[in-house]
Amino acid sequence: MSHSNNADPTGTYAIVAEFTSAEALLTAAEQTADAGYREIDAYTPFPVHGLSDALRFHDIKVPWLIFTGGLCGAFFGFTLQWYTAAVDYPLSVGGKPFNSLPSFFPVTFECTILFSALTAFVCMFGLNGLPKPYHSIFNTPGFQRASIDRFFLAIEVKDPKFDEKETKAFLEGLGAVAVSEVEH
Amino acid sequence: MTTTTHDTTIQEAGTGLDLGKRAPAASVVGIIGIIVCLVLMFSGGEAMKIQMMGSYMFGFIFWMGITLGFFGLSLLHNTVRGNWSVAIIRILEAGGGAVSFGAMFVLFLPIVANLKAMYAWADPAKVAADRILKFKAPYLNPTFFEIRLVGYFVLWAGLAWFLRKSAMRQEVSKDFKLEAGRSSWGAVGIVMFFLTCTFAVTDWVMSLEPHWSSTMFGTWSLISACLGALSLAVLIFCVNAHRAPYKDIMRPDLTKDLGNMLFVLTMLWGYTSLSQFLIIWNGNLPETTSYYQARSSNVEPITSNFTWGAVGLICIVGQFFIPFFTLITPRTKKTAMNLAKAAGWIFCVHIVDIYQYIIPALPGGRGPSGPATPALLTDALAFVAIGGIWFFVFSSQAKKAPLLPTYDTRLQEAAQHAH
Repeated sequence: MSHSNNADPTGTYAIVAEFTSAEALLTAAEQTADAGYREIDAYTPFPVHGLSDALRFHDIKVPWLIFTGGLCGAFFGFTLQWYTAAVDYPLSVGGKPFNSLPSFFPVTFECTILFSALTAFVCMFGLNGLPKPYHSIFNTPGFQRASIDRFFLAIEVKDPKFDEKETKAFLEGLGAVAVSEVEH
Repeated sequence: MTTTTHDTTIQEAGTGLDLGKRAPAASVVGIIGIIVCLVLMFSGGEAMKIQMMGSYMFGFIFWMGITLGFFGLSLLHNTVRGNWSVAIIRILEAGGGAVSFGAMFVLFLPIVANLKAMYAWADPAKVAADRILKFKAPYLNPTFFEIRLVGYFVLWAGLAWFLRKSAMRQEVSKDFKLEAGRSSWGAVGIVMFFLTCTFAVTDWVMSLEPHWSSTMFGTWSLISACLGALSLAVLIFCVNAHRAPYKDIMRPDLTKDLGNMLFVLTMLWGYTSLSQFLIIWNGNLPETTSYYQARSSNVEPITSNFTWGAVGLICIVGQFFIPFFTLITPRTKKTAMNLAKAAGWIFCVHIVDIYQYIIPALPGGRGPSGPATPALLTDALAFVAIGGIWFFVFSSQAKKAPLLPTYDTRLQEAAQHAH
């Protein structure tokens, strides 16, 4: 079948449907997901509420990575202070114990925030595969309007349910103003 | 649009929500409780008088905080016209309105009548023997205290009355200009609110320990009050979420917003609590550390096996860590049922928090060295009595207006889009 297309960089990338409103896109995304398509994506000029739900997009990797990053930050910040202040170079500050938990709070807290933020930043780029100088979706005719006033829904070739004719007919039945086959 | 909403309300009137239903029960509990409190306060033995006064102080400060929190959150709503707070604005207006302030003012009078017993600075004999109190006397004296007290209540009740009246007029005329006006007044009100509340908390609570002072105290108390108030408002909203008119606006986004706001206040509470502690701990001066000394493991509140340090630990874990990890989870904020549990938890720990905030500061203290009679009983009595009056006012005010503003249909529209 067309599965051999997956590896072929010159073949079809996806079939992309164009809609004129966020509501039309939401309904179409819902129906596409209901029909069993999984490798789908949507492109809109502004964030559309409920779109990720409609696409059945459920990815909780980033929150957990951020949480782990935060924990590492807390550990790093605390250990740094504890090691320097209580082990390596003990200095009496105001007669307080060398290992004084409250005085370590601010830096521990700041390191937690810093590490979480950096993890979020790096992971967001990494998991999204950025930077990406070339993306096939831009071969869609009229795609520049995705940042102006049009809403696009793509079903990618790598979807196991993908079938050139059927998928195209399916998208045409969803009320799209244009359906195009997009090359890699 | 409006007619449809109206029709649905009438159709479902049978199953609709009536927050005024419990008003009579609350008034009975409140009035009987207050009478018992007053009898113990004015005719009990000397030790009993002081103990009851302390318990009454705890109950009063707790419900006063809730009232102020409701008022403050309604100011926030009026200023920014938030989407999420439309759902609870009528609850906030009912519990933080002019009538609530009036009731709380009357409930403050027993304390005013006994100022000398509560506050060291109100006792001329103690002031004469104390250089610090003498120095603070131009500000901390009974006459000026009473003038300020009246001033706070006039400002709060006046603004609350004005905003509520404007909202009621908009219910009739649907004139958006009124809402814009409330937005401007709300902004001015928030500034006034923060200033007056800082002074009020300094007068009423901080001056219980007149040698001690902390610049974080006003903000911290205010945030704590807003957290308690929001948890109660969200609790009332969420447990009634299946009834009209709330069920027409329920959707995961709304509970998420309310949960996030609780989350924000939880973090702010943690932030301000820690800031105050850290500054005092670092300074390490006897006159500032006294606050934490009185609430440390060296001091016993109720029995000799249980210390204030343990109560403080309950607050740190229960008021910060547990709500933090609960509310950061999206699952908690997805349904009204889950959010109600989280809000209920916060409200309960808030009671413990206010308890350890007030009780150790009271004259005579508590525990083996303090009053002999089990103090928890009178504390609970005052809490329930003042709470009864508070709920009576809340219920009877909530009854007077539609539970959702009829002029602001953003939430109904959002709910329709979601289906």
